[in-house]
Formats: sequence, structure tokens, C-alpha cells
Amino acid sequence: MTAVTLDDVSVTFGAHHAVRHVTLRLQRSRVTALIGPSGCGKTTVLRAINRMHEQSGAIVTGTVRLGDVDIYGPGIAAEHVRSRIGMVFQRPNPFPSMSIFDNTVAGLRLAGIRNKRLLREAAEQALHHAALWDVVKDRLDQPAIRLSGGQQQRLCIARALAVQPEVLLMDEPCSALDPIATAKVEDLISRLVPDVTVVLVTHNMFQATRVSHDVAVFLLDEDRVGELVEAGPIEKVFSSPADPRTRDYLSGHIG
Amino acid sequence: MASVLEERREPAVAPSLSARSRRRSELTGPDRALGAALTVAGLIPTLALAFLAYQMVKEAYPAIIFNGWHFFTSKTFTIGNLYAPIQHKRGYAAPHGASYGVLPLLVGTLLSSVFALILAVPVSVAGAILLVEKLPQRIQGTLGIFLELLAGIPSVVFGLWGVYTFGPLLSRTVYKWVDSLGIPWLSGHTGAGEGLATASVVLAVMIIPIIASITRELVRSVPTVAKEGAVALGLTPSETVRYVTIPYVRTGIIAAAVLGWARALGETIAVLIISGNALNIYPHSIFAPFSTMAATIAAFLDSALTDPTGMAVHALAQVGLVLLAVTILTNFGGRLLTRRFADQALPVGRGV
Amino acid sequence: MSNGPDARGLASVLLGRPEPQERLDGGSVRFEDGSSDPTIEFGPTRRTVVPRRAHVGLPPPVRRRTRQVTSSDVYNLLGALLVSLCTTYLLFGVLASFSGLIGFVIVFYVIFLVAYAVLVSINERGPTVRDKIMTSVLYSTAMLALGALSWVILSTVWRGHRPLGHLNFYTQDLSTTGNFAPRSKGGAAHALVGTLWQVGIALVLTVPLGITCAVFLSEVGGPVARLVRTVVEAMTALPSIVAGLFIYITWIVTLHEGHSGLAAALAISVTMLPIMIRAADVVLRLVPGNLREASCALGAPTWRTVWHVILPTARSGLTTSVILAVAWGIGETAPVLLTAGYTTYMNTNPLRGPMVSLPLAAYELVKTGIKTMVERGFAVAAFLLLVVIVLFAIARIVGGRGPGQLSKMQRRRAVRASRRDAQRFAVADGGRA
Repeated sequence: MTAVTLDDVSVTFGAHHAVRHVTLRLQRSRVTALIGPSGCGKTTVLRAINRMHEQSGAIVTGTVRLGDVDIYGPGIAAEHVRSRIGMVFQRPNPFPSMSIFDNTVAGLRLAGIRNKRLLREAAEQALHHAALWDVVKDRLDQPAIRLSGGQQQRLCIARALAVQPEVLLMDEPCSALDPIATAKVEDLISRLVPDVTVVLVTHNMFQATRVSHDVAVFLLDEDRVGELVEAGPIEKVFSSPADPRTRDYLSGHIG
Repeated sequence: MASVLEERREPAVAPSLSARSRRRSELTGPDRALGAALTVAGLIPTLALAFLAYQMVKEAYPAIIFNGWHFFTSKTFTIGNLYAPIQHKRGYAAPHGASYGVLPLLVGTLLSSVFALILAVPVSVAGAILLVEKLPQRIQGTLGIFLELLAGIPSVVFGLWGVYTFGPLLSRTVYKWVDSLGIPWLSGHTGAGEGLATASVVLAVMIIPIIASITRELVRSVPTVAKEGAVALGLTPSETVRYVTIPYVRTGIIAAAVLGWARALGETIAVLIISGNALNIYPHSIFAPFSTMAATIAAFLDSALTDPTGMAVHALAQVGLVLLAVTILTNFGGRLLTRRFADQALPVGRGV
Repeated sequence: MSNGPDARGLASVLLGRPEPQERLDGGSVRFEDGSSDPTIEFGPTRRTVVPRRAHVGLPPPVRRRTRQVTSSDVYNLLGALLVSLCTTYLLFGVLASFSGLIGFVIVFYVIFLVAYAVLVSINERGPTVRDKIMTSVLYSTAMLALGALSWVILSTVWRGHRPLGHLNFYTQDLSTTGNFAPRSKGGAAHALVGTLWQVGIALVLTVPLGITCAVFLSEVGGPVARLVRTVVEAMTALPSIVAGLFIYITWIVTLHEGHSGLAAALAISVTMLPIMIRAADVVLRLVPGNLREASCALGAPTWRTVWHVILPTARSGLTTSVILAVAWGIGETAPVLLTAGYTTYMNTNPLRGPMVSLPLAAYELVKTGIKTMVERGFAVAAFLLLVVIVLFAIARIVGGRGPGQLSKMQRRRAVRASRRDAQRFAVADGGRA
């Protein structure tokens, strides 16, 4: 089952090609890690799935499908796409003005849900899911920025989960966290499937092996433009890479 | 040659002055002289401000004693009848009938500046957000320069525009319409457009560039990561502004508003031109003429010189002292306020 | 370059699999031959995929439309404007309390917002409708402010442009100009000279002091500098009329001197100094700390570091702060009003006698209420405005250039100098040969 299909996706910033000709199927209910050296377009591809490039002014060509729906198709609002695909960023970014509870249900409130009981249940479920409930259940009304960095990041995951997205995009979610907080977030990621399809960008190959099922390797081509080199189940790619460049990268010869 | 040798004797690593001043014995001649010169120069503004305060207090002192609490309770400010016998009170002389009440001026100053602030802050914030979030980079730069330029327009230009162009137009259109609604205090004789309402609007236009250019810098400094959190959740641009941008810059907007307020409080020439120079009355409607402390000092100083007892100048100095106290307190209050709010608005992720 | 065992070794570490030696007793895996591990199989369909390069020989991919403004947006906007215009026009006879232009504008705006909301909501969901309405309100508010501010400039220039066209405006004073004299008589030369004197003296006083004080703030630091910084910030909030009153009390009341250009210059200095210090302080703090360290590491004493490294690096920024302070000082009216006195004749001596400045002349001339004088007053105001705009433009050009960047003229001069040097060397070499 394919959750997200990328077909010949290229992204350009002005005259500069960031990544080109990416064709990739992301399997449903699995964690897919996008790995590769810095600047090879992993995050760029991730943001194309969520139509986030409309914020930065980059141009996306090609087709991205969520299930059968072309998310760049006519009549599809970017906001609508983003509310069905969750995203977690490198650094925790809770809403500074909102309490922990309000942060968790922000997506639901904005979708028009006003029922207090529903919101409360959704918040509890999402916070449970994000392994944060026991920490914050007594102080849901406190400002979210009082939490530690790791807790803030898990709150951001809970915020993304509360709207029950089909896909959760994670852009190096642990890069700003210490090892203990990282372990907690990784543990959480592995427990998210099969409810959610997770796409994870990471620099850390050990992390990829710990949490992901599939892996997509991005490298720079001869023109210094990012490209997808190889994709597949992580054991396959890591043990018997089909492309020599993947082997070089994994053995530490590139990047 | 000799100078080169002398330089060689310098220690190989010369830390900054601040680090050196702790080890004063190591300082060489030119550096010590520099340190002393810098410190003297650095202290000059402080001494100047202290001297300014001293001069103001000294000049105002006879008036402070003569007026007592009357200064803050009376609504009449007059230099008295210069041809009648001189009155004496608490050891000081003043012309007969002289009364120095600051209350209407204080009310006028506060009302006009607060109205201006209420008008200017939303407009400035809207403008700054529009500039940064909606407009393309190229227009942003040009409009930003224009905004800085507008902050530098001399206030006399604003005053002349207010009294000759803007006030009459407002009076013919907006004021006539507001007056026709019949709301108490919002209706009354609108005249030629001189008065509290026009002064407040002109003050607002004057401080918009100040508040807007500071807010623009603040909005630009909001981390992209924070905004993207909202965008990725499916929020529309205006919801992102409301839930992320505004909470981030709230503290800074308060600081910017305080700066703008200080300018409105102390503005003299524009208010002097537009206020209608009402004396000894509280504004009975929003269109009524009024006066402020700053404008009164400018308007009265000439006639105060004719007072043989000199009490009128003392009283104006006392008005100046009150104005000085109000603006400096506002400034420090704003600073304290922003420091208190600063704890609540933290940048993204505290780090771990 | 590429070698299998390395990659496999990494894979085994990454995947946390047992070492091959331990697995070997199963007898099914042989790692030494460099082949893959047959025990790890995810089923026939789950295979490593090398993505196909479909783009070769295909037409170029289509750019996806992600523009925020679509044609339907434009139609919605135009439709709402039209609906609003018509409805307001029809309504206007009915509503008695709305009269005149302003009522029309308000009714028009409200109906426009409602109509726009309705039109947008046909195709969009709630939050998007709210977003569009908020954006329109944002645009109209900002346009209102920008319009008002542009109007200030344009109306002043318009009211005063006629006398500006006469040469005598820049060369004559008003001492012999009657109230009804034509534009070809009288001018503002006396105010121009007064402004030049006053701002010039203020500059001489504040530039060295301001920059030294800023160097003190940025280089020395410590509790004293913190106190000074607080004082300077408090001084920027000092109302200019209080600065004028202070000089009036000190100069005229205490020292019994008369109104003069020098007194006005002192008052302007009090208002300019904090602006100068703060702008220079900001600029100096932008000088990278490693430049300072580089200079110190070369063994330069601090005064040399300041003089040869920090000040030259910040030169364009410091120039900008001086120009900005001048632009502010030139427009100060209130302190000059108290200290300079008003006059219609040319006074070139700043030590004696009243000396009018440009903003003060504008104020006093307009205050007379006589038509020709009001026009001259606006002309002075427009001239002042142009001077300020030019100063800001210069500040922008100078400040936009980083240290080491040369202007066009400087670059041309450098090229000429290099060419001369080259010739000189060529001649010298030829002589030696």
C-alpha cells in the first residue's frame, strides 16, 4: 500500500536546483528514513510533500500524490493538504502564547471543533501517544514554553498527531535534543506505526536503523544537485546496496 | 625608530580595555590616557543630564514652594495682572491673581498622546506585518527606507499640514459625521479642525513611522521555524500571524509603543499649531481646543518674561519639570514592562 | 574505491545484528564471499529499488501552480467592489444618518467586506475566508497610513512650490519685504544661514563627543558604561522643549545673555547628542570582535586598535549616524523657538542677536496668517523637507556600503593610481635594464 507517491519531483530555488527527478513510493504504516549528506535535498523533498515550499518561494515540479489525490492539483488548498499531513521540525516550535492544552488541540480548534469534551479527549489521546501525558497532565494550562526542549518536541509531535494525520513528516526531530530526549522521541516514533505513516529525515544512520523500516538515500550528482540514489527496505539497502554510490556513502567514502 | 621600539615593549597579547582595567598597573601611558579620556567623554552625557535636572529644579524651586499642591489641583494657568499690587505667599512674590495650575495641561497631554497611541499602534503593527509577510522583497526594501525617512520629517511640517490641510478636511467630513451621531463627548462644535481630535490624529501620523519601523525589525526577527510550525498545521497566513508572529513580537511592540508615546508626550510645535491653545479648561468634547504642557511652555515663555517678579518663568520651569518626570518615568516604565514580559516570550526551544 | 566488506561491516553495526561469526554456526550465511545475507528477506516484492530515470527523453515537467492569487480571487475582489458600489449608491438616499463623503466611504467599505466574504465563502472554507478578509483589512489600514504620510510630503511641497522657483528665495532675507510683496521679492537666506550656523556648531560639539562616548560604551564596558547607556536612552526620550527650556534657563535667565544662534546650537546639541551616541554605539557594536582580537594579537595597544581598526571599519556606519543626527537636528523647532529668537534680517554672527532657523521661520511665517507670508512659510517647510530627504538618501547610500567597499568614483581613482604605478615601475625597470 502506498501512502505518498512522488513522481519525477524537482525543486528549484530561483536558478538553483536543490533536488531533481525524485520518484519514490512511501509505504503505508511504515517509517521511511530519508538519509544522505548535508545539502542533498532530503528536507527539500520532505517539505514538497507538505506544500511548505509555497512559504519559501521555491518552485516544485512533478507530481506528489497523497493516496490517489494529487496534492498540487487544481482546487486543492495548501492549508487543506497541511492539515492532513503532520510535520515536526528540527527545533521544537510550540505556539509561544498558548498553554500545553491549547497547543495540543490547536489544529483541531482551527478545523472548527469547539466541543470541550471532544477536545479534551483528543488532547489526552495525543499526549498519551506522544508519551507526554504523565508529565503534563497536572499542568495542562501552563505555557508550553515552560517545558524542557525534549518535552516541547514531544508536545509538537502530539500537536501534529491530534488532528490524526495520514502522514507525519519529521525533519531531523532530534537534532536539537540531548541523548535521553532523543531516545524518548525515537521510542515514540517506533510506536506510531501502524496508525501513522512516518517520513523521517535524519543525518544519523544509527537513528535510521533504530526506528525505520524503509530508507531512501539521497546524494549529490555530478552537477552538485541532490538526487535519489536508492530506496528500499533498510536491511536490503544497508546490507546489499544496488548502487555503488550508496555503498560508498554507507562505508563512509562520500559525505 | 624610537616609537617602534616602544611599541615592541607592549605585551604581545593585549586584551580589551575592560579586561585590562582590572589590572591597571599593566596599562601603558597612551592606553591609560585613552581609558581616562573615554571615561570622561562617557560621563559627559550623564553630567549633562544631571546638570539639566539641577537647573530645572533650581529654577522651578520658588514656584514649587509658592504653588504647593495648588499646582496639581488648580485648573487655571495665568501670569496674573501685572499692573496690580504684588501678592506674597510663603515668602515668594507673584503678580496679583497669578495662578499656576497644571491639571488641564496634564490632562491634555495625556489625552492627546494616549489617543494618538491607540490610533497608531494597530496601524503600525498592521503596516509592519504587511510589509514583512505579504509584500515581495524588493518593495519591502523601498518601503522600509521610505518609513525611516518619514520618521525623520520635522514636526513643524506635520503641524502645518495638520492645521492647513488635514484638520479642515477632517472637520468638513469625519467630524461632521461623528458629530451627527450625537454620542456624548464625541459631539460638539468642530470648528476649523483645530483641537484635541486633530492633534491626536496628527500625533498618531507622526509616531506611526517610529512604531512601524521598530515593529518591522521585530517581525523580521521572528524565527521561520516558529511560523512553519503553524503553517504545517494547516493554518492560514492570518492565523499564523495571530498565533505566532504577534505573540513573538508583543514585548517589542510594547517597547516601540513606549518610544512613540514619549515622542507624543513631548511633542511641542505640532501640538502648539493644532491644539487651538485653549487655556484653563478641560476639553468638553473630543473636538474642543486644548493645550499640553510642552505647547504651553512654548506659548507662554514670551509673556512670562514680562513678569517683574519672575514667578511666571519659575512656574513654566515647574511645568517643564513635570513633563520631564512624566516622559522619563514612561520610558523607564516601558523598559520594566518589556523586561517583565521578556520572560514570557522565549525564543524557539530553550535548548536543552 | 568501493569495497563491499566495509559497507557490510557498517550495516551490521547499524542494524545491531550479531556478528557474522556467531551467525555462522547456523551454517546458512557466508559473509566472506561478499554476497548479501540470504536470511534477511522481506518477501518477493520488497526489494531495493534504484529509481528509474524517467526524465531522459521526456518533455520537461510542468511547473505546478502554487501561486496564492488565482483568477477567481481577482474576480471575487472585483465583484465585491462592484456590489458594494451599487448597493451603497442605492442605499444612500435611504439612510439619513449617513451623509456626505465620509458616510459613503464607510458604508462602501463595510458592504465591500461583507460582499467579499460572501463571494469567497462560495468556494473556500471558513479559515480561508477569514484570512482573505483579514488581509484586505490589513492592506486598507496600511494604505491609509502610507497615504496620509505621503500626503504630508506632497501637500507641503504643493503649497510651497511657487516661491521655491524664484532665485531670490535663496539669496535674500525678509527685512525689507512687505506683507504683500510679490514672490520675486524676499527670501529665506537668513534662515538658511541660521540653520547652517546652528547645526554646524551643534555638529562640532556633538560629533567628537558622541563618537568618543560611543567608543567608551562599546570598548570599555562595565557598570559605569551600563549606567551611561541607561542615561543616554533616557535622554533620547527627553522632550526637545525641555532641552530648549534648560538652555533658556541656563543661558538667558542665569547668565543674562540674549537670544542667539549659539544658544540655539547648544539646545540642538542637547537633543542631538543622545541620538548620535545611540546610533554610533549600535554601529560600533557591529564591528566583529575577531577584528579587535586580531589587532590585539598583533601586539597593537588598545588605542591603536580603536584608531586604526575599529573606527575605520565602522566609518560608513558612523557617517550614517552623523547624517541621521543632522537630519533630526535640522528639523528641531521647539528648542530653537525658545533660544534663537525671531528675526527677518540676515544675522551671520551666532554669538550676538537673534538668529532664525529654517523650521522656526516656517512656523513664524505661517503663523502670521498673511497669504503671501504663509506661502513663503510653506516654501521654507518644503525646502527643509527636501534637505531632510536628501540627507536621508545620502545616509542610506553611505550606510549601505560595507567597510572596504569603494564608491564608483573612488574605484575609478584607484584604477588610475594603479595604472600610474604600473607605468612608473615599467619606466624604472627599463632604466635599470
